[in-house]
Amino acid sequence: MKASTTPWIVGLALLALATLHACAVTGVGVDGSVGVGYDAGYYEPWGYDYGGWGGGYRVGPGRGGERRGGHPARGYRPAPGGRPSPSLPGRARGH
Amino acid sequence: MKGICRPHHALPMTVAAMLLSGFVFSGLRAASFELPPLNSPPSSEHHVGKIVWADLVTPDLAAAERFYSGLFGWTFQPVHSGASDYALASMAGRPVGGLLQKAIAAGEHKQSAWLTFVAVGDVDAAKGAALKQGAKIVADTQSYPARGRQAVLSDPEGAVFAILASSSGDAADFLAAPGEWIWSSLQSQDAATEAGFYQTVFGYDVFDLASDDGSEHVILSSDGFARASVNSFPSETGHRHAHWLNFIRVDSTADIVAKAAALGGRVLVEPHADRHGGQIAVLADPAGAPFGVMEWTAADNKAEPK
Repeated sequence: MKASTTPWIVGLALLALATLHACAVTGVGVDGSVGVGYDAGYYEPWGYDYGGWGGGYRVGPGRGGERRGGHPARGYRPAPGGRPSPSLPGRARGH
Repeated sequence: MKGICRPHHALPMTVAAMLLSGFVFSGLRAASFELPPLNSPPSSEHHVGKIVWADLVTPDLAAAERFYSGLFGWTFQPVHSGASDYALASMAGRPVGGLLQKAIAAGEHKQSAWLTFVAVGDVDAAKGAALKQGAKIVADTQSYPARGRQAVLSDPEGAVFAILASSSGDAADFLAAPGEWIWSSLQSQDAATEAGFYQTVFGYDVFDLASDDGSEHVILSSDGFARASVNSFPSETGHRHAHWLNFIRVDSTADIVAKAAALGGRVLVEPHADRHGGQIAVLADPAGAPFGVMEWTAADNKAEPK
């Protein structure tokens, strides 16, 4: 009787191990898990329209110290007026 | 008796063998899956609010590799990620982004796009702050041991972005070399409200700059450097929805635009001078993913933080 139950116990133990292992590597969890596949690939809604980028439509950074816009600051706290507007890092890698 | 026992022994042993092999193969698959670190060797720096990474989602990985390799000289290294096809893009040996192949179902119209990653110190805290301000979860928090912990969100206008606490720290603030990402710009309906959202989540300093066209253009800054701009759509009507647009530094916008067309890309915005005096343009790769290119000469910046 003992001899015939031992393999079942081994099987069940392995099943438990495999289940625990799967939980650890496949991202089972309430929040924050270890991903096996990569699910950050997100397609945007179809189509963009970039029309209307006239000469005054500027999206890039300045060189620093640009004139402030003077728009009423709705929704955000503007940096103090005395602070110059920032630019990109000027230091090149390795210098 | 022996004859009766044999099947009893055989069945559990077979099950055990199957489980064991599953265990081993599962372990191998997990071991082979690893998104690479952003910085190697690791950096001890952390720059909350800095745009630190970009991942492209595309239906045709090979075509995307041909395009970006031909245009910028990027090289690619395949990364096995379970069922996903992912390639790490590098410029002169430095990782610049990732390309993920994902099929688009027949009949579906979806836009291939670059996903913008913003550095945070604590993904859960940043996610919580964003949700409180009206963001939605696109892909919930995941940990990739070498890369870090990340989540994909959409802001109150629906622009999708990712937050990432990099396991290897954040790169030091150097001027991007040609072929590397240099700038990011959010196109939105209401730049001021969107700037408020990002300021609350990432703690940016916000600078409203003067514009010639009446549109609102706002600079988001951290550590004394400009990190991104938030721009209201041009007044001209069209099919628009809020989205992030990332720019790669180039030596000559005109040359890149010509090359992109030859490689199967499209010009969305023709080259023109931007605020800093250099030329910019907006292109789409063969799958339609938009990205910008920007010239930036090494002229002295007026305001370099101490």
